[in-house]
Amino acid sequence: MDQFRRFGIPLLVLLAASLPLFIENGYLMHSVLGKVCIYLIIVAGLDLVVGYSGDVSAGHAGLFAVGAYASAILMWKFRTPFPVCVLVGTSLGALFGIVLGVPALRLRGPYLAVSTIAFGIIIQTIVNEAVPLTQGSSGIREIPKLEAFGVNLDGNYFYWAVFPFTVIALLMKQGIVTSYWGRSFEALKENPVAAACSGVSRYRFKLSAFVTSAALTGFAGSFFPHVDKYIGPPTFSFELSVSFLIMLIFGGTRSILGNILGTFSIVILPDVFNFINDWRLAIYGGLLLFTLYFLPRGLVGLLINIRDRLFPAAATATGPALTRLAESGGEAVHLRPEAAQTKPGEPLLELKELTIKFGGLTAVNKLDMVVKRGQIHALIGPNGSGKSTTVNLITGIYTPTSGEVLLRGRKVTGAPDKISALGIARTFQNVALFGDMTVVDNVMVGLHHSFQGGFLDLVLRTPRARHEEKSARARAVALLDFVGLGHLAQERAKNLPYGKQRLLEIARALGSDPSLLLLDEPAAGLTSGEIGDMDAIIRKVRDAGVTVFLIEHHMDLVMSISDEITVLDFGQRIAQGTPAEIQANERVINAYLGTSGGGHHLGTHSTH
Amino acid sequence: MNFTFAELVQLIFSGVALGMIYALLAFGYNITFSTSRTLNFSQGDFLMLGAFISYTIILHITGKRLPPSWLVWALALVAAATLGGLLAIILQQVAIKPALKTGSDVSWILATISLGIIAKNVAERIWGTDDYPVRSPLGSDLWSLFGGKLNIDPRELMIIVAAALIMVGFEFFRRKSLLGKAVTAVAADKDAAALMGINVPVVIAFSFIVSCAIAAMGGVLVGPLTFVSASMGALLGVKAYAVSVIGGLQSGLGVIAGGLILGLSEQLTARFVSTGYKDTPGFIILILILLLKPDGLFGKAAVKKV
Amino acid sequence: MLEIQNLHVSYGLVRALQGVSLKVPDGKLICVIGSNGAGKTTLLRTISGLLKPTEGRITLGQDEQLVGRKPHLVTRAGVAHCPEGRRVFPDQSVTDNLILGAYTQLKKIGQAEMLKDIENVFEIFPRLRERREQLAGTLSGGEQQMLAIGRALMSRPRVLLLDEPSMGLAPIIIDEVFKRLAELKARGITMLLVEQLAFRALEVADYGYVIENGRIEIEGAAESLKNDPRVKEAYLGGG
Repeated sequence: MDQFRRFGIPLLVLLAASLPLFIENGYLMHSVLGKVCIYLIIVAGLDLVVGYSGDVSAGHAGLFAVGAYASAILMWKFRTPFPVCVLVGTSLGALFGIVLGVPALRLRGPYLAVSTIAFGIIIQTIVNEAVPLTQGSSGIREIPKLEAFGVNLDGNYFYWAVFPFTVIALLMKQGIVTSYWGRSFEALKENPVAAACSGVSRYRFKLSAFVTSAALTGFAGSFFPHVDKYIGPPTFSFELSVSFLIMLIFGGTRSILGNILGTFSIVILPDVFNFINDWRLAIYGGLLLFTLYFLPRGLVGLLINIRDRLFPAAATATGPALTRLAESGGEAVHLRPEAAQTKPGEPLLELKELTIKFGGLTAVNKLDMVVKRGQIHALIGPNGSGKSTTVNLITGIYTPTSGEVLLRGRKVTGAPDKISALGIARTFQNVALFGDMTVVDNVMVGLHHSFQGGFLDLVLRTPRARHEEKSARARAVALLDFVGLGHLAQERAKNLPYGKQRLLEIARALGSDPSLLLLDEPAAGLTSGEIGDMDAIIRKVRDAGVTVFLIEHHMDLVMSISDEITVLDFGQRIAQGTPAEIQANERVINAYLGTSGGGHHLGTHSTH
Repeated sequence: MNFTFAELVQLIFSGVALGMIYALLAFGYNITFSTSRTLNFSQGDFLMLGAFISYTIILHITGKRLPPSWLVWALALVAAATLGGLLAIILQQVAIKPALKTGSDVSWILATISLGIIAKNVAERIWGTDDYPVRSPLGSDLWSLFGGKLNIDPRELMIIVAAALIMVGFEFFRRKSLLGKAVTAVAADKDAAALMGINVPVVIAFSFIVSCAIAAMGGVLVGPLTFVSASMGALLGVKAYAVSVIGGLQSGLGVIAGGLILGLSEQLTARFVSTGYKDTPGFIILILILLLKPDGLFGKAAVKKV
Repeated sequence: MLEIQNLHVSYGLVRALQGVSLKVPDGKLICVIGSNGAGKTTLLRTISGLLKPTEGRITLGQDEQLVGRKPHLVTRAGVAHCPEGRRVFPDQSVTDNLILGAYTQLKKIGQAEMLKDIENVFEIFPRLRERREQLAGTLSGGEQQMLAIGRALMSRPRVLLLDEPSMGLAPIIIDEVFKRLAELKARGITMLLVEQLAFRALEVADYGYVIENGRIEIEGAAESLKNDPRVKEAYLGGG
């Protein structure tokens, strides 16, 4: 495989690049292969949105039209040099990407699909109506010759004008999806809450994927007038937007090969089977449905299945990543809580009259609490007493109705990804891993804040980006070793046994170098042996200097491990103290076991 | 520019009629979105099929020259609703049910879009790509009021009355009948509804049947006013998204207000800007509402942001 | 009579129930107590068909098998489930919630009989009568709990499953809820009560099971469990 990557792919690219030398068929070269190259740029960009980010845009024909018309009008009316036209087309694509993405991607739901469909149809209408600019339904025929360095790039050689950019676009996409951006997209798709609590901003990354895709589409559009030396409104229909989606899904998402196969097959389909023209839309629709249900990974998935059946050895062979990974492991881990400003025993986290109401119900009621640095502090209480709600308030998943959360005396507010950056990390009651990602990639999402590289770093694979990636990987492996999962780094997270998934969540949370780690029922569902391991890991985390805030129901664990315990009942603190004090506290026993006629306890204050 | 009061009234009247068609489609989106968090991205094509069914029935029974009798019109309405309902079962089985199991938004969105383009293609093969006029049982002569000072189009009046009856009728059904209460219960909490003995998948399928039947009836209503063609649904369906979002995706009758806002702004744009740009306000309003008030003007704050 | 034999349930990789067996004889109130996460809610959700067991039998009456039935068919067979956290339909009125409770009965018994049933529920929970036109979401926690129980009764169940009716309520309200449960028991309603507040539950129950980590660890007559020190240990740990 490695050999193929190193030599085979460049060879194929060269071969593809030299096609105009062998083929003297103008129609094939510009109307088929030229179009394939242009559409491939769009499909690769759309893959970022649909395949990686999990959103649907059914209005890419509109973005394509924006690029195409901008370029055509500039060339025709203003004799603008082509590179400037491309620049304008790309920028306009990105601009409309922002206009569409900013409102729709803040929300959860099918809003992006809704607004992109509307956009596509409106753009087509506007193109038809703005006659002075676009010549309306008669289209623009006045497209000048395309030349570069004195070489005519029309007809047979148009392919050379666009092919290099297609290769660059595909490389760019690959650069993005193999970087922390790609991991962020996938993490957000698999579990948005867990991703946010690891520091990934849902809005920012979904928007980045969409705007990148929109810019690529505008870019591709600016080449399009040269394909037929004509553009007109009928091309930029809703059906074209759907065709882009079909190219992507039919070929197989999340794969360059899939993008190529899908684009090629759908572009040549009407040429090969010209009798289908009357039923083209129905065939497209049928093909899309068929792919969705019978070929969920598209043509590429089919090829992989065939390969695995023919050469079972290839399926089980370990990739090159594994060997490279082993080299980076082994270093001893030091947790680096940057909370050196406070000394052990000083307050780290303070809750002041924290309150949240859901409708008429007060889930957490004027909760006052202090977690001291360097301790293991447990929060316990009967079912429904508000423990998980408290954790969700601290991590920004809920916004308090009143009261505040302070970390080192400073107010903690904002979205979960902002709070993660302040040094508060968490695990979840129901394990919230990114199941389809590898174990080490899960931890690398946790290391999100250590990446500073921008878009260009990723696309150009600068030394900075490579260095960040490499050191993050080493750190991730070290954290895995810390919780005892180093040897499982390349497994998919969902294939780990349950107890190990719990440990992986802790490793991921430690990735952000937290000063405070919130563990929401880390022992739930574990066997007694696994609880022992968990006990050891929690102590190890505390000893490494990370303050632990623990919600747990396994009382043996809580009582043995905690320095201090706070007890909640119906949203209020009813006791605080050492394990021994809590076990002897009448009010706590009452809250847990319930003695009849307990009503007279109502209104008494904390025993602490 | 000569703008009279009578013209204003007529403009408002046309805007309201247009708005009620959008509202009817949007009402359908909201019904299924509340029960299943999915909606039919080919709702406009269901409207188109309804319009063609009424066209065919009226053509065969009454012919081209006379307006259909109320009986024939009612038959067309029932036939359209039935076809819409039957196709909804296919839609629900093929596009929605499998996607609800996987929980992926991508697959139901793409699957309903696929069915829409298939429906459009089939319609093109059956009826061709031309525009066909359909006659309304009320005829097409304007009704003169106040001694000719005010002229209203009876076809528009019919849209307003019928669409309002359909929507208010369903709301009444939803509040008063046991099945309607079950629809609301499923929308609120599927597990709790199942524990009441409600067959949740059947209720979801029912919500699709109602939604698509309403869309098809919308086609029967709008046919006489526009023309009937295979491509008539796309733009209507898209504008209904805007209306749905203005009202709030789960707001029930909020769509009527949304429809009126859009219908009127389109009429005003056509009158004072240019008829060519009368389709643009829908998109602009959609973006503005998503930006400023994503729960809709009448929706509860239910849109999750995390 | 509801009988559960050797029930095993897994969520993905977690084995939530590992061989639970218990009996709910007609006319009795049986409780299952245990701390949070022990498997109580899983047990009830499995009985009512919301979860599928990997193994085991759930028998209603003589030989009616409930395993493999969809939730609405379990309800139809006569098992009403009053879920954890009440789960009333917030945007519908108290009366509408009760009518939905009678969803499986309305055709069988007719409107008039159903209205009588609603009157019966109002008799047991007079507060609901005062608030019958109010939206359920605007009720207090205690009132919502009463409504949830009343709604479950509307299906005229052969067995009533109650999932932690005390959850999130103030002690004085819990007193009232348990008083109502005792009244229901006096009316001869068969109940399976799952509860974290062990002593409260044992106060009203005939027989109890203590569940820990998905297994029944202790069982016995309610009276004897009340004095069993192992019960307290199961909650707050040994020592």
